[in-house]
Amino acid sequence: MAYSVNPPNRHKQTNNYKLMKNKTTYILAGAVFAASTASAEIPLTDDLSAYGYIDVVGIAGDDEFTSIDNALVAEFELGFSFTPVDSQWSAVAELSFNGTDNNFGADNFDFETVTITYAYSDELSFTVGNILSYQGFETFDATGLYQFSYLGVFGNPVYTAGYWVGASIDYVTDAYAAGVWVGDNNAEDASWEIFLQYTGIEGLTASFIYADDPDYETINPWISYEIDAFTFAVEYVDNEFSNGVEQDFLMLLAYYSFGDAGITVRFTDGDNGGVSGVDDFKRYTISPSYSFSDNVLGLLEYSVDDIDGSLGTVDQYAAELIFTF
Amino acid sequence: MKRLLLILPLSMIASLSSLAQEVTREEFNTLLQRIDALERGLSSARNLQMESLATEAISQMPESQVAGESRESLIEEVVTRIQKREESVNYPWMELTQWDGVRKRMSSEQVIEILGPPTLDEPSLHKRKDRVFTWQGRRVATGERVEAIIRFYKNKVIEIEPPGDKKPFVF
Repeated sequence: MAYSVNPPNRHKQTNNYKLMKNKTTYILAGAVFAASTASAEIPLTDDLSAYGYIDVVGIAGDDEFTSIDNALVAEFELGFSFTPVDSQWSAVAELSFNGTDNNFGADNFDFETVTITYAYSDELSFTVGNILSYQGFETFDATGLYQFSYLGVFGNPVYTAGYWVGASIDYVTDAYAAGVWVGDNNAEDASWEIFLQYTGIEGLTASFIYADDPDYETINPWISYEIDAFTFAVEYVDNEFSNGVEQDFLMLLAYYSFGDAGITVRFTDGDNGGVSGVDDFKRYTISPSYSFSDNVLGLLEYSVDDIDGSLGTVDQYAAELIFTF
Repeated sequence: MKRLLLILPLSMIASLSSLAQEVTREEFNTLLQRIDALERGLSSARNLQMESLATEAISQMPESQVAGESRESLIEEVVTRIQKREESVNYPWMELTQWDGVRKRMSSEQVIEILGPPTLDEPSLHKRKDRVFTWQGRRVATGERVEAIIRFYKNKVIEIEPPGDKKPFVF
């Protein structure tokens, strides 16, 4: 949909880091935005196609806070896209199964993008349904990330929104994109997000996202620039929660591609606002990756959190293999 | 109106359930083998038919027009031309000369204009390739499987693999 340049912005919610995040549920699902997934498409009929991916991960850590040292099928995602050729209407439904405990209950199953879209023109579209947040340079699905973990402490995502039911209006051109999402959060006030993106200079993507919800307020600007085989990105996230917790994160990322291989180096300087017992921290990540084919990607990651206070440093290791279909 | 609303989901369920008929892996492989055999048979039958048509057409031609060339090679020539014509109508992308017009940095729309729509349009996990067009088909004359690939990044061609080319085509 509206993400003309970058992969869809999604927060991966399928690793143990995310499970940790769930335990500290200061984050509420909120706003969002639908986008196509980075998966292949299998035509079922002229109008209906299926796509998805399998994400297998091995994780290890040296601290109790990481609660890791295991291997798992982090996610199996299956999506259906209904796009009649001569119609301005289209629909997408994505099902996400997380974990490997063979329990297909509510804890392991999520709807991701489940939307109905009306394309008024090539630029302007209207969408209703379960839509993904505009927030984040780091994508929701593993397929769009430059490494395994997220930029937050212990590899947690730092965005205040994931998927939520609402409606959005999006306008996209080659040079810029703009969008507004409004959703219901069961409170008196609505939850909403605005999204502005500039892509008018080759290689450059500059985005600004503002989210306002009865439970939080988030400001999230980020810029990425691609030159030759390099990608550079800078992201800032400022969260203020209604319970008084305040967080801010600054992330710097560099990615270098050489043929089918690549390497990511990332640094985060953040204040976690006391969540998980962490205030100020720094996170360093290095992650080599290799594309075995267009639909198979493998990567390794080493990250270390340098946390102010008694927690000290926490090492984390991950190996990931993703297969799209 | 209400009745219509009821009918629609029912018809959708019916069509989905017909799609979801179970087949075992063995049955599926057998079906694939049968399709392969049918395609080969069809291709060979087509060739025979074309040959007989060409023979018939040539036999009706005055002797003076076929003089200087053996009847057999003339038939082969006619058959080859008919096959090429069929190939260029059904699979324009199989014709290598069409690929001369494809250049790096072209958009996906420009590529489709030249080669026709791809058989598969898929994204790539590679961070510097985000879309892959694949054309697949069989040579009309031989039944040989042919595949061609073009990869894009930000809607610009970055890699070209014409039919029969396994490695990226470098200009």
